[in-house]
Amino acid sequence: MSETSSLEAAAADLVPQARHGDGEALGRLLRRCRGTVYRWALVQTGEADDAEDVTQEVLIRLHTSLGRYSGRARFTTWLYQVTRNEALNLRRRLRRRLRLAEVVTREAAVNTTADDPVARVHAARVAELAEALLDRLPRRQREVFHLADIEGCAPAEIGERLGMNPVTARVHLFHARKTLRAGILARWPELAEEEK
Amino acid sequence: MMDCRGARRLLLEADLSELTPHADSDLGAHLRACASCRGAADEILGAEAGLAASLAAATPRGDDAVAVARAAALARRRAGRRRVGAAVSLAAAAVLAGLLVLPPRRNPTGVAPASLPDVAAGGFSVVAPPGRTVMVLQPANPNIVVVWYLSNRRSS
Repeated sequence: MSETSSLEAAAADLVPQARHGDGEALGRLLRRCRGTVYRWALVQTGEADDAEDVTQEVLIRLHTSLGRYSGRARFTTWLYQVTRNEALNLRRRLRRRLRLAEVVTREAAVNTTADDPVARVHAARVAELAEALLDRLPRRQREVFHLADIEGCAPAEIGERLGMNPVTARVHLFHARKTLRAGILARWPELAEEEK
Repeated sequence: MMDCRGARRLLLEADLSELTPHADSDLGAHLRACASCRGAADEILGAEAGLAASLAAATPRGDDAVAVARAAALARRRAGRRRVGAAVSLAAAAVLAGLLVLPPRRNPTGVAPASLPDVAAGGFSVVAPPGRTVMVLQPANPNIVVVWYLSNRRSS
């Protein structure tokens, strides 16, 4: 079950209770949302501190504005848009350079055994992909790639979340994959194309 | 059968589920037969899985319960500020509305109006635009100054 699906399932019980004034349910909902919102914000902002700020703002918005969630869209769709708006607001304020690659490289390093050459190669590969994700992709492509290949969302859902036609989302996804995967393969000469 | 050129092109675009030799597709058949393209597919799958794992491991600092409690406190504080702001706006509007319905020579609000072309009050001066008279009101709250421009034309 993807992170989004898991959160959606949890929210199905908690959101109605929270909207009817159950403070305990609201607290549980916010705790459940925090990690997911942080990871979305991390992809949006590319910076851990900024993602923390965005997460905090989203939790406050959830606390004050959950009543505005009409229930017509999926909760995770609504929450993603709230997160995206907060990230865009923050980006307008800060205009900092994205540093997603540093965050992901740090996480990869934490999960890597320093003595294991295979793991080191793997970590380098992940860092390379993260850097490509950061440096080479426009924001729309980065969002679509994250939702499709990391979160496992279908093009229709991506279109709904980002407010774009699913066909357009698919086009962004193709461009993003092409850029990233070509970058991955270009770094490994032993995988250079061989005609058959 | 698909050649390597076609396979490499698809490797760059296809969904992750199609990048395995088990996929029931032309690309899957090619990957079963071609070790080089299979290696390229494995490289892509490994890198994307690694990125997903690294992102999934990224967690915000601090305890969830503490962060949620802080957000709740901030939400309450902001809501309180909004209520105060709304009350101040309402009070200012009420003062203005009262002045609008009362005869101009009376001063029933107890505030100190000044109706002059140019007025100095509250540490700053207000210059009336041409054809207007400026009225500056200083209510009991020292944080509020009401500036009102009146037309000099009188209706008959």
